[in-house]
Amino acid sequence: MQDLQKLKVILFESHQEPVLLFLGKLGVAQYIKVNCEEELDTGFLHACPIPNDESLLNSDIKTRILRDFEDMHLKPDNKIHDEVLLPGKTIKEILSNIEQKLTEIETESTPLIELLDLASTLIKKTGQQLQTWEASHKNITSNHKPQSGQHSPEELLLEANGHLTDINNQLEETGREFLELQSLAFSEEHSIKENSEISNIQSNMSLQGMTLKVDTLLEAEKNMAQCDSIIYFEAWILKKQFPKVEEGINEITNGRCVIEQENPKPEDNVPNVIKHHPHFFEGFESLTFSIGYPRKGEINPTYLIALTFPFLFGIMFADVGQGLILFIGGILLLIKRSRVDINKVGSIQRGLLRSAGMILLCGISAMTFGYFFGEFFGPSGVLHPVLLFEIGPFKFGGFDPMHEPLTLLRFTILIGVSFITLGLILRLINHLKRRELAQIIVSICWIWFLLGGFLMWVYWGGISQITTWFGEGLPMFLTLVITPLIIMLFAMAKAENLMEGIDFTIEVFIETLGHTLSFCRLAALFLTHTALSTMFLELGGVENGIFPLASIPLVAIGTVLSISIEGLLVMVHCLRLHWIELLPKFYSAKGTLFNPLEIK
Amino acid sequence: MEPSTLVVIAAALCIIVCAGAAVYAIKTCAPALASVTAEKPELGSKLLITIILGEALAIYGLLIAFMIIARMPEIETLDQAIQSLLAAITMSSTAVIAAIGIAYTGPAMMTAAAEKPESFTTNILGLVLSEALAIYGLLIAFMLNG
Repeated sequence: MQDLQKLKVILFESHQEPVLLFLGKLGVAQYIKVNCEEELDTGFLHACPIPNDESLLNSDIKTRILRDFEDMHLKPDNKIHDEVLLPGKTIKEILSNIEQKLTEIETESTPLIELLDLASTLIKKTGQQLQTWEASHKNITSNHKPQSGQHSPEELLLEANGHLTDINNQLEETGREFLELQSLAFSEEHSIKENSEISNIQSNMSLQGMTLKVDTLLEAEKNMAQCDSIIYFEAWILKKQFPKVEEGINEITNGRCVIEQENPKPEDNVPNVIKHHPHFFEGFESLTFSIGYPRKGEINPTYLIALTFPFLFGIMFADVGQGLILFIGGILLLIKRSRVDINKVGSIQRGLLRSAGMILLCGISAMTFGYFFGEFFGPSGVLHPVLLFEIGPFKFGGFDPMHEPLTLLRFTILIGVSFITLGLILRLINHLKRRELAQIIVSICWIWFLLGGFLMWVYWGGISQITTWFGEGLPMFLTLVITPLIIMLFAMAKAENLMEGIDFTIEVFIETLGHTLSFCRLAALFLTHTALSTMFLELGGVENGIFPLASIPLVAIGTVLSISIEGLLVMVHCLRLHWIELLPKFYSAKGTLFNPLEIK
Repeated sequence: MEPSTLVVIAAALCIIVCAGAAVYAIKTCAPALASVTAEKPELGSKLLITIILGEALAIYGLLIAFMIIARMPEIETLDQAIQSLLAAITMSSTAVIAAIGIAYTGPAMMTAAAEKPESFTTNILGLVLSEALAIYGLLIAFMLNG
């Protein structure tokens, strides 16, 4: 199982770094900052300071590596390599090993650097010469004025012309020579840069990655506590790895240590071991975790979002044509993703590749809703709305939203109520798992209140009939809306106190109303999308599903605008509906990720 | 005044005021975003939401202005024209109100997120709630016009 346990260790200072390195090599421990008062006497625990010498040496090495890169006209590699740290029992030894290796590399690269310097000075000099030559060339041609004398003007001109061609020929030759020299120097520099030796040196510069790892090690020391020459530290480790860790530490310290294992207490914020989702769902994973990680034992909503996000996106972006473009784009991105290494591309491209699955699903959803609402690059008349089903006043598809906005509004309210109910059911499940009675009652009453209010609204025909709610509908109103609120108030008042209960009930009332209304944005953005497309269709003169040839560029511009600006807007609103309306009902997002310190 | 003139004024008013509101929101949020991302680039994609929500105001204005123009041939009486004008006024004034909200809450949220990224979830509420005001206006303007 993926259960975590707290490891508590006391050992001597001399064994601190070997143990740190040992745990780092296993890659199992996530250090906890030991809680200790720093202002007590020296006899008490105090936080370990970052060792001064080591961190200074480390930053020295870093600057040296950067300077070497600059000397060799190379770009510093910012990616952290998965390099094996050089051997050494303490960090100091490792650092001195790194330094030694760096010196070796520097001596190796000195001849190359000299060559490069030579080439670049050559290029600079020829460049300067060329510039002065060009300037003088202009001067000579412009300064050559005919002289007055006894000769006839024709002779004079002929003579001057002859001189001029001579000079010009000579000058052109020197100019050509300069150019040749320069290109020679360029190719020389290029060949040095392409040299296998230099690529060797660049890969050797993985030392940079090592210095970063040393940094993380030094940071980890800060979490430990010290009392004189005794070190105390705590870390989260996996339960199954405990025997291995215990044995290893005992071996390093020759048994002169105290190791204790402790099950997590309820108040501890235990890190969560999260398995990575398949490539296809990576986009949704980053959307979910951008508000926070799930706590231990909480439902991880990534797969849920993979369903709901494209659903909401599809309603706001309902269009068969534009959905098809997204779908094809998603497929192309997926193909590209399988061919390239995702860690070696730029950040924007990486983001796109990671969200390939999301784009594909959004495209499918947009196409589906576009089919039901009859949109093909806007309401062009190619498709006609298709009715999927009809329950009471709610129609799923089968009407033209531009002409029946109220039907669309009712439809989005239905969607909103079902989404909030979904969130509340998940909340109920979470509380059932944790057996919190007051919260279970509150969740049930909340669902009761929401669905009851919704039923009232449907049964009595909207807010405009609100007077009948209090007239003939009063008994129904009392049971469906007021009773759950009162039960909720008492449940909260018993669990906390009366003020808390009143506060919470009012909050639930306002929140439910506001969040349901908030789903009206689905209708508003649907109409915005349709209006934007209609504008370009009308400008292009598209009627009854016939696209004239001249309209195609206009429709193309409209599509690009829709997908870029409108698509971004729709995505932000989708996110917002998840972040504010759906997820907070059941997802605390207060967890931390189990991220053990690892050095290879 | 001719009804058609009134309708044209309504459409122009709607888009101009909404664009003004959008630019007010963006010009307050973008510098804050720039300075936060200079410090912490990884927050950029999350905080971009402020600018996009600001931009949304202009798109809502565009929608209402477009609907008003599309309805122009049907409008004959002064009453109908005034209704269109009212729709435009509703949309543009709610856009201005939402823009003021975004302009205050956006930069505050971003500076807080730069210091403590985990505060983002709570602080984004102010931003999205003020943006919701524009959506309410959009819905009512839509109904007035429809």
